[in-house]
Amino acid sequence: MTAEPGPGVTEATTGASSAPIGRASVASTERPGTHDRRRPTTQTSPTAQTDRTAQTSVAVRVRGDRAPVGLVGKATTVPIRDPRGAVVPTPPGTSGRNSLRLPAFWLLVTLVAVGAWRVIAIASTAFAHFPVATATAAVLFVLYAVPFVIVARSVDFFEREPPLLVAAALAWGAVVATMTALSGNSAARSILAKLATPAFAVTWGPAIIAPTLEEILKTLGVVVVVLVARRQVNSVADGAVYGAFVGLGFQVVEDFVDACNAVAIAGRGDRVAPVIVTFLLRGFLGGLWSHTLFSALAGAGVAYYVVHRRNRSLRRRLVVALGAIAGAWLFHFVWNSPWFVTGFGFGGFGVLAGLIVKGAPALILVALFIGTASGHEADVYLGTLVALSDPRIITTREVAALRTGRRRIAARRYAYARCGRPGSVAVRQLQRAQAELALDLSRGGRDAYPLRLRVLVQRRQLAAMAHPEGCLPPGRRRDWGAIAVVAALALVIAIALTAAVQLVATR
Amino acid sequence: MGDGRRRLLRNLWASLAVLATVAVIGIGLPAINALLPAARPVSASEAYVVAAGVSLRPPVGARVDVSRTAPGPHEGAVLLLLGSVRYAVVITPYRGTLRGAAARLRAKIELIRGAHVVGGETSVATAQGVAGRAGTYESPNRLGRYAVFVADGLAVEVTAAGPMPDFRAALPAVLDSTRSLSFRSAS
Repeated sequence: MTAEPGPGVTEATTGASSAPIGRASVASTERPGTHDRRRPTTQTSPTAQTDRTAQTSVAVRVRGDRAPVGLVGKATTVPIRDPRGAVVPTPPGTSGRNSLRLPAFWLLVTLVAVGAWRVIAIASTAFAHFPVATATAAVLFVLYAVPFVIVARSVDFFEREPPLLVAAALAWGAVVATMTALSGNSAARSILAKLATPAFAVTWGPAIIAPTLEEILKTLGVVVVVLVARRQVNSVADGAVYGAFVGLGFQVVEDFVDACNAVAIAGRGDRVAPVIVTFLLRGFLGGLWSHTLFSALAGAGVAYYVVHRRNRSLRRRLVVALGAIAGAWLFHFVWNSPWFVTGFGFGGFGVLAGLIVKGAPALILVALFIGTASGHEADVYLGTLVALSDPRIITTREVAALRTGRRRIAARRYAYARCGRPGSVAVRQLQRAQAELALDLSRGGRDAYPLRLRVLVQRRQLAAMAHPEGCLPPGRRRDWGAIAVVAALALVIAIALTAAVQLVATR
Repeated sequence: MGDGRRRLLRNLWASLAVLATVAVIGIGLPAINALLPAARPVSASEAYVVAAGVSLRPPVGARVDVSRTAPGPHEGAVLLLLGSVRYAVVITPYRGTLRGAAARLRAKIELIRGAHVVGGETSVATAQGVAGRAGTYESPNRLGRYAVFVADGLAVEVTAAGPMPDFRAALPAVLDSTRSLSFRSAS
């Protein structure tokens, strides 16, 4: 199998990454007969190099600007350039200290401080009256945030956002957006009742007011992140990640405050039953398609506006950004609307069906949108590795396995099945090392030498376990694991609903 | 003007725009709300439907505060204003006992800053014959009366409070209005 060296390979060979990679090729970690990456024709995979009996050889063939990645699912290719301009890498030497000079940074600090003071005041009042219930609510909703963080970070696999910026996004949603919305929503609902009727405000107020004010406030969180550290917003997926964290902060604090209110309204003292009911209703039944999802969509729109400022017209960027924010508003509107609240007359399961009808389309559409954006970002980073044409760095099958979070997990599970926990850990570390090398190469490759060594070390560890590739299991067509998770989730939701209804009935 | 300075100015203007938006929502909307009158006249000669099929006759001269009124098919509330006296009726789905409902209302009252229940509770009833419990509470410079009724799977919590002289003057009208509480199908 041969291929002519394409322009992508030439670019990689002569590009910024060539020097450190060249140094790596003479490092002591290399085997004798060091691979010359200037020979961009056919490379056999490490499977063939180290485990000749186990697998067939796999080659990365670079054609023009793309390399094929067609072993799993629909045949596709990875661009070894970024034709869409989907990723704007952070320039080397970018320092967080520059943000200290910016007015936006001090605005963020001030508003977070004011908001935090108000949240603490609310929480301490609740704690003074209902210590057990308030502590339970705090613990439950903090734990509830963990899976969301894991999912958001999986979108963020290649180019991890700086923890301080993620914390800033979370804090904006948790204390600035919630506390401002608390005043704004109440006033707007009252204005609606005065201008229309109390009945209209009760029925449609949550659908009209909450999406309008809350989506604006949460989107401002992403805008502030952009103002504070524009160079860290490198792709549409980054915007989705920041938006998701703003939304998550909002969701957790809003649910916590609701749980405390439920305890007070129940009027039965310091009991946790109202907290559990709120947790089940708002956490499980409403949590999947709530603020985290809406804000991720809006954040993606903001990021599109910022990232594509050099290769898309202002009009197109505005249309996409406003469209994404409008989408977030619409999904929020539908979710808060009074439609299907009676459950079509079929009791608890009817209510569950109504919730799914209202929430699932948002979940599916936003997941697809963010999945596509994340895939484009992954393609760009993977392209930097593919352009090296070095199967010791990445093989075709690993490219396919690295592209999405689900596939990365599937590759680790496959390693676990073959080599136990050490295999799974080694694949995870290989994936992490490959991602960091890809990121570094996209930023000019200043640290490519040690990062490449890390990949090679991880590769050697895997080879020692007779599992030299972090690839997907052969013949994998359907992600049964994901299907099982979804089915289990649906079951949990149904059980949660039943429990919630029973608890509400006995209140 | 250098590039850096221009960027800084752009950042400043954008930050001010963000601050202005937050201020409009967090401060502007409450200010606009405060400027709009909330009280609407309500007829004392007709039954006023609060929520969930529960109605009452408002006291003569009462006005309904539409900003604190929330009608609904299963639960709801109304706030009536008699001068400085606030007369509130809150309806919630409830499956417990009358004593439990009374204890719940007392607990809610005690959550109001400085408020506490004084004296014992007495039995009361609506004109329709629905039994309830009533009592008195006070907070700094304010006196209040509460009553609670349970029927039809609902708890109806009634509270009226105001400055002492105004409250004493309004109390007979409030008690009449409370007695007029009507359930869709009283038990």
